[in-house]
Amino acid sequence: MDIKKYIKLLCEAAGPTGFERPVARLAAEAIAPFADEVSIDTLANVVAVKRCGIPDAHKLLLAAHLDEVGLVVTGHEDGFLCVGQIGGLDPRVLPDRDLLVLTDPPRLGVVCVQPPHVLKAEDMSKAIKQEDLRVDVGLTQEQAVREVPIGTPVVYRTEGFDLLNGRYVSKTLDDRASFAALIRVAELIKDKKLPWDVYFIGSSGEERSEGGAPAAAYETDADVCIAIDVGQAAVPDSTPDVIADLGKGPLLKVGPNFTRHVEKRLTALAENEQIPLQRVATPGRSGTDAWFMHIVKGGVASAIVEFPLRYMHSPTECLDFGDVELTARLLAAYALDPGKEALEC
Amino acid sequence: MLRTLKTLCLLNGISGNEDEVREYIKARALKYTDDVRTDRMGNLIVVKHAAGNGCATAGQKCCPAPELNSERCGNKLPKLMIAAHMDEVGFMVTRVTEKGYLGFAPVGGIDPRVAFNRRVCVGEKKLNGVTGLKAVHQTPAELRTEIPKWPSMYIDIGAKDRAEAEALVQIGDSIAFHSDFVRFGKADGFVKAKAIDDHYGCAVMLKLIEKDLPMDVTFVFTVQEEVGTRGATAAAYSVAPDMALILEGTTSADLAGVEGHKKVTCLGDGPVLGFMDAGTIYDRGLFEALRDLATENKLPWQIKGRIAGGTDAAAVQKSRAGVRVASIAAPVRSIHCPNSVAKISDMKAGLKLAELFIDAVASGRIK
Repeated sequence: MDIKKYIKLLCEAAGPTGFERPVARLAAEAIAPFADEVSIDTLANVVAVKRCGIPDAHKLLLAAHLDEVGLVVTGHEDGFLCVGQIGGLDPRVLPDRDLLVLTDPPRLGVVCVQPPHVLKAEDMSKAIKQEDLRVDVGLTQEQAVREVPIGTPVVYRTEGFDLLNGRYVSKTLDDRASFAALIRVAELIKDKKLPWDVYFIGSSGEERSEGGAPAAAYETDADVCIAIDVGQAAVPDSTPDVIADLGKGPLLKVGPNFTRHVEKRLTALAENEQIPLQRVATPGRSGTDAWFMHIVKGGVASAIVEFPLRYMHSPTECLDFGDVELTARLLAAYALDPGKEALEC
Repeated sequence: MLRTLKTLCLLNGISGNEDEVREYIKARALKYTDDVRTDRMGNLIVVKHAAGNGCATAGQKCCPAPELNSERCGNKLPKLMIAAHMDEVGFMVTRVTEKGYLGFAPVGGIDPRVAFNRRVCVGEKKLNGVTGLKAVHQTPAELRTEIPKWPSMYIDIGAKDRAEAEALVQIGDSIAFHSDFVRFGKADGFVKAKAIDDHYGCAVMLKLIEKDLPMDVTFVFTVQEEVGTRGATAAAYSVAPDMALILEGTTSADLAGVEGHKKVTCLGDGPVLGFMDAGTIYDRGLFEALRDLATENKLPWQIKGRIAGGTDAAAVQKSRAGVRVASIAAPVRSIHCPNSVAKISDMKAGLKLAELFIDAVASGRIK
């Protein structure tokens, strides 16, 4: 499978939190050839399932979120757009950024930046505050109010590109590259005998927390949930707690959000399959769909498998295709052979 | 002109490394004149002779040998030079780290606030790279106001380590922003691209070279404007013009909430006629002539609301025994940024005005 094709397709689409439905349709179409049933639910989650054929089978749920961080139009000033944030992004990446304003049809916007000579010297060393950022759409005030109404979502418009060594830069690798990994998992298990039904969820709303994933866990009545997400990879200016490296395999998070037997099984399978694992201590809130899926209904066994990512939530996130493939292989191994505890819980 | 501008903006010409831009312009210019040379600094000097056998107007003789001063060959027309710079701001590789990242420094004036998470093009091999900044999750909200200094910034090319990076990249390699050319706004009346400053001026000159001109004009595509108008200094000496028109992109800060003269220039208000900036007090007579030509021909025009910035005019004006200088510039938002914005109507009016200027010099109206 050309996983890059799926990553490019999904990541370059526009779907900030709350506006995921067009991306959900793309994702549903992409995974359909590998699944028995595919649907899109009330909250815009994609729900695809591969049945095992066993009556009253246990259920594994693999969830990757399809929403992305972005901006939303909150007002107009002299024809420029005022914007608020959807999800957490660093306002420092915005000045002079080219954006896609999601009118119909979508249009280009460029975040304004005042030239240095109209600023005081000290202004240059300080970031522009998010509330002071304006977006240029080449309209007068009257045109802007009419053509780009308040509430219009806005996203980055990066086209993906390759770096050396199978590394790839795009917007929204968090977390649509993980959904591409799920398509790869679906391919890997397609003709295999499964011990349980496997659900592939493209969840909505993750960047604003407690989004669509818990609803999907509820409606599918899952026994084990694994969130597939992205984890911080070290870069020259990262904080010392970030130890994971790009290109060194999937990350396995360890902490209260994760069920011991799933963690142990994943670790054992990784060893069998010779997949390197990078363990990441997560003492509290995991910041992923797993945090919420864990406590759905009477509780769900849960885990997170991630691949490392540089420059998360920026227009230029960076992954290593090798890590994505290893992540997919580890999840496929677990789906095929989850161990006794998972099937008895 | 827009197609030419698009092609030029997508080429890279960091100051001191303008070859790619020059080769393209040279090939285009050679279709319209044989009189094309590159000087030792890399300036491209293109002489476009008057259409026909001599001047189209007033029966005046044109200079048969463009390298000679007009006076010596008895031509009463002033020797006219039109110039725009081929170089653009960018970066240069300054070091390679143990882990294979590249350190870099700006070439020309770049606001560090627009340097993060940018796609860049590194060196002759045109490697893809991205300028890094640790993720928002690793930066507490109160630190998201700090702008890192140049020496702590880095470029990620995906190299595994120093050895791999050093095999592909050399210290001193040029780094250009990667940015596409897009029309947008009402009636697609705006463009966004990198290097509109000053590939706009270059595009106008190419269009002028392609036209039948009423007099000989020496077009100079200069190098190294962004690091101190260095190419223009040498070119003005060798061309030895009587009069020079500089075509440029100039600062606009006509953004929301910016009042009055602080906008400097406004997109849509027409080409900017130079009367004074930080480097030059332009020839008053030429300024007034441009202003009158624009007004008579119903072209919009404006002047800068702030005495700031500079152009190649500063170097040309002081060349030899002095040169009369004028300038026409397109107002540009986010100038020196990867996503500069300009308005097509301003750029087209600038081209028209430059044509009118040549006609007025050729007819003797501007002396």
